[in-house]
Amino acid sequence: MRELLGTGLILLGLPFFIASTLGLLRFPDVYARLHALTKADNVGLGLICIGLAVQASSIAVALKIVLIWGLILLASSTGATLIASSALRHGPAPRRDDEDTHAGR
Amino acid sequence: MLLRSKRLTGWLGRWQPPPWQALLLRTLLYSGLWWVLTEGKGSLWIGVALALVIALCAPVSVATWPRQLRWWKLPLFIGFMLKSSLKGALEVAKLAISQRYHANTLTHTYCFRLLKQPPQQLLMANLVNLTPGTLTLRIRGDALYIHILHHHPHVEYQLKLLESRIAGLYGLTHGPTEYQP
Repeated sequence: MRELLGTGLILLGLPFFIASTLGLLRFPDVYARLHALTKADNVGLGLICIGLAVQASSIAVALKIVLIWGLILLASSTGATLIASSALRHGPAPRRDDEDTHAGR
Repeated sequence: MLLRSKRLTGWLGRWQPPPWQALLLRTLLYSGLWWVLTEGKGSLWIGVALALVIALCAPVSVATWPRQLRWWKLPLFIGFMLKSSLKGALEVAKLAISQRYHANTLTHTYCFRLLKQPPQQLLMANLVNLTPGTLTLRIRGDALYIHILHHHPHVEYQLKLLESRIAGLYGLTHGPTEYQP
């Protein structure tokens, strides 16, 4: 039962990773790409971590996996703001986009 | 070498043991971390000894966690954040897989209403990155400069709600957050 639940959660996490990678490739600027990395990726990773924690051999191992997810959440969120503020200072300004754009290439 | 030993003597001269409650709490916390990191297989005595040494060396002025933090509100807050993260991830995924990228992207300055301390503002800046469609670009004074991936009328309400939730976690008084699209 645990194996099945874990596998289900891992499979549920994969589409978020795929969507995040698509976002990284398709979104028009660094700011929009950071949205893909901080949101879809973290949820995908969270589901995979919970899936692995469910299958873990002990509570300590499960907690370690959840701790890893928590630390990655913290790092990714702080890193995104640092990259965005650096891009704002040295790179192009965020684009204001209120019309249809072909972003797929 | 002489400089180092002088520094050490100076540090030892200034050192004072933390209050026993803080010492106990820190030792428990670090021992727990040791247990988790070693997957329960590490020596308990080494873990407790290491935790005690680190707890004794930590400066007294550094709080283990903010005194005003309302711990009992934390599970509800984590639940709220998980729900927001999931909503944000679905929104980004929908945009990423849509055939035509259609987004109403803009930047917005959000002024803090309740959070006045830098650690609280930093927490909000980090959590904004996990809520749907928003990304902190910069913290300046009492305001956050935010990038909105796809603007909709709920964004301002969503930010106010997040701020009032964080304020509630710190026990700050706040009025009801009204929804004004």
